[in-house]
Amino acid sequence: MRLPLVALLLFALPAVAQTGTAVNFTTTSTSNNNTVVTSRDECTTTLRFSWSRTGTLCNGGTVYLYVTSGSCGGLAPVATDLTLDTVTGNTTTSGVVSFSMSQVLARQTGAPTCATQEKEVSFKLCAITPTISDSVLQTCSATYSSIGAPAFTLTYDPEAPSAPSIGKVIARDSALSVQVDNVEEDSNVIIELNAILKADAGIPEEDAGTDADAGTDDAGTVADAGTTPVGESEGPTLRFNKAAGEGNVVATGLINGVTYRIRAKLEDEAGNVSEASAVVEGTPVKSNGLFDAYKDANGQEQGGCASTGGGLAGGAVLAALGIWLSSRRKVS
Amino acid sequence: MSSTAVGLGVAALLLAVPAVAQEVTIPTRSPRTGAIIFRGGGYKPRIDYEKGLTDTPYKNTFGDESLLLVELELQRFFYQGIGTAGLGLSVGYGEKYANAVLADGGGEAADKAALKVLPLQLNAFYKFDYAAFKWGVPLVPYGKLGLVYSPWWMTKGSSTEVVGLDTGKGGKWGYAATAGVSFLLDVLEPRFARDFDSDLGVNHSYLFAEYTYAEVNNFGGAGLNLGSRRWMFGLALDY
Repeated sequence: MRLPLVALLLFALPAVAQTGTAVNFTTTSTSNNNTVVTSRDECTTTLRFSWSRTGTLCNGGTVYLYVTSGSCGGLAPVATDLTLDTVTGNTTTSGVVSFSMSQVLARQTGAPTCATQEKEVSFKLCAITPTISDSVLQTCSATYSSIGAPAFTLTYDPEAPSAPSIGKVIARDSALSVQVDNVEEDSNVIIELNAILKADAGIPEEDAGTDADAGTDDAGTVADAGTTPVGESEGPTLRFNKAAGEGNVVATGLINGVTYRIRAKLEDEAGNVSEASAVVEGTPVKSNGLFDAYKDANGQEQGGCASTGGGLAGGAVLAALGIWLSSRRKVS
Repeated sequence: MSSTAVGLGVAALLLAVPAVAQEVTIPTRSPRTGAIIFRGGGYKPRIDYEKGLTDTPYKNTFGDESLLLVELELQRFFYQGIGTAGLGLSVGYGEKYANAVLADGGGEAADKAALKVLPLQLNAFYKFDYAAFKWGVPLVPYGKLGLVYSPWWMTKGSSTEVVGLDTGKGGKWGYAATAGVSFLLDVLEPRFARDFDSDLGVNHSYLFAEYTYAEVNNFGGAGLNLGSRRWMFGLALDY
C-alpha cells in the first residue's frame, strides 16, 4: 500500500515543478504600475529588462521573450511581435533583454516609425513556454502559456498634451500662486516666470528673478520698479512644477513689487511637453503676519533656536516625568 | 477527635458561604490611581500686554477672537484621604488663522497668518472629593499649580515667519494656577457608573469647568507673553 503512494508522489513532482515555472522581469526604466511610457524623444532610447526563471521546463521546452501588441500566450510569437530572446532547455535561468520602442514599432503593420506613429499605442512584454502535454514524460504541447510577471505594459505616447490656460494668479508675499486650468490627468504642471526688467528700474539684471531674502522685511525694496518705463526685457526663466490635481502651483522666492510674466505648460507621463499657455502677469506683494505686526510694534521676542533648544530640554523633562507618572504600578 | 475535626470543618464551611455570597452580590470598586482629562476652551494669549509694545499686534491680526485650545491631561494620585492629591501632566494644542494684512495698508492679503501653540504643563493638584464619596455631594472643587512650557510658532502662507534675523518660533516658560469645580456624573446613573468601573476600570466620571491664570513670559523676561486668563471645560475620568 505504501509503495504505490510513494510512486504516485514521485510521478507528481515534475508536474508540480512545471506549475511553478515563472519568469520574473525587472527594469531600471521609470515605470508606474508596471507601465513604461516612452515619448517621441525617447523612441530610440534603449529599454532594458532583466529576467530570471524559476521552475523547470518541459523536455526540450523553449522560453520566448518578446513584445507584442496582442496578448501573451496561446501561440508562439508571430511576425508582428519583436522577439527579444529564445532560451531552450533548463540551463539558462537569467539574462537581460534590450530593445527600443522604434524596434517595436518597426515590426507593426505598415512599419511605422517614431515620427510617423502619431497615436498612443501600447504593447505587452511577454515570456511564454509550451505547456506540458504529458506529466509523466514531460513532453511539450503545441500551446504556450504565459509565465512572465509582473505584466509590464510598454506605451509609446507621441502626443503632447494640449496647452493649458492660467485661470487666476494670486499675489502673495514673495510668491505667486498660479491656478492652471485644462490640465490633463497624470501630467505635471509647469509654470515659467520671467521678471520684467525695466531699463531704469534699479533691478540689476544679474539679481533678477529670485530674492534671497524673500519673506523678510527688505523683500520688495524695488517696489517702484518700472515706474518710468523706457525699455523692457525679461529676466532669467524660473520654473516651478507640481503634479496635476494638487492645487495651485506656487512660485516662491520672488521679489515683491516686481511684475513677472507667467506661462504654464503641461508635461505628460511620457515626458511630452505641451505648448505654453497665454502669458499672464502677476506681482508679489508684501504682507504682514502676526510676527511682522509684533515686530513692527517693537516686540522684543527673538524666537529662534535658543529658546527652542531650551524647550526641547524642558519638553524632554516633562515627557520623562509623564512616562514615570504613567508607568507607576497601580496601587490596590 | 475525628468528630471534632468534622465539626470544625462544617463550621468553617458554613462561615465561608456568606463570604462567597457577599462577593457575588456586592459589586467591588477597582483601585483608583489616576485620572485622564480632556478639556477645551478659548485661549487668548496676552501678547498685546507685553511691556513696551507700541501697538496691539494680536488684536490687529485676529481681532478679539481666541484660539481654540484642546488639552489632554494625565494625573497620578499620591494621596487619597481627605480629598485627593497628586501630579498631572498635560499637553495641548491651539491655533488661530486670519488673513495677513497688506504691508501698504491696502487691506487683507491672500496669505494666511497663523499663531500655533503647544502648551505643556506639569502640575500639582488637590481636589476635595471627600464630601462626594462620603456624603454623596456631587460637586468636587479642586485647584492646581503648575509649571508651563509653551512652544509657539507664527506662520504666514506655508512657512514660519522671518523678520530680519528673527524667526517666528520658540518656546516660553511660565506658571499657571487653576481653580475649578467638577460635577460627579455617577449620581445621575449609579448603576451605569458601577458597570463602567467593573468593565473598564473607570471609577468616576466628571464634567468640569475651571478658570486658569497663567503667566507664560519666561517669568517676566522680555519677549512674547503667552500668558492668559481663560475658562476651560471638559470631561475627567478617574481610573
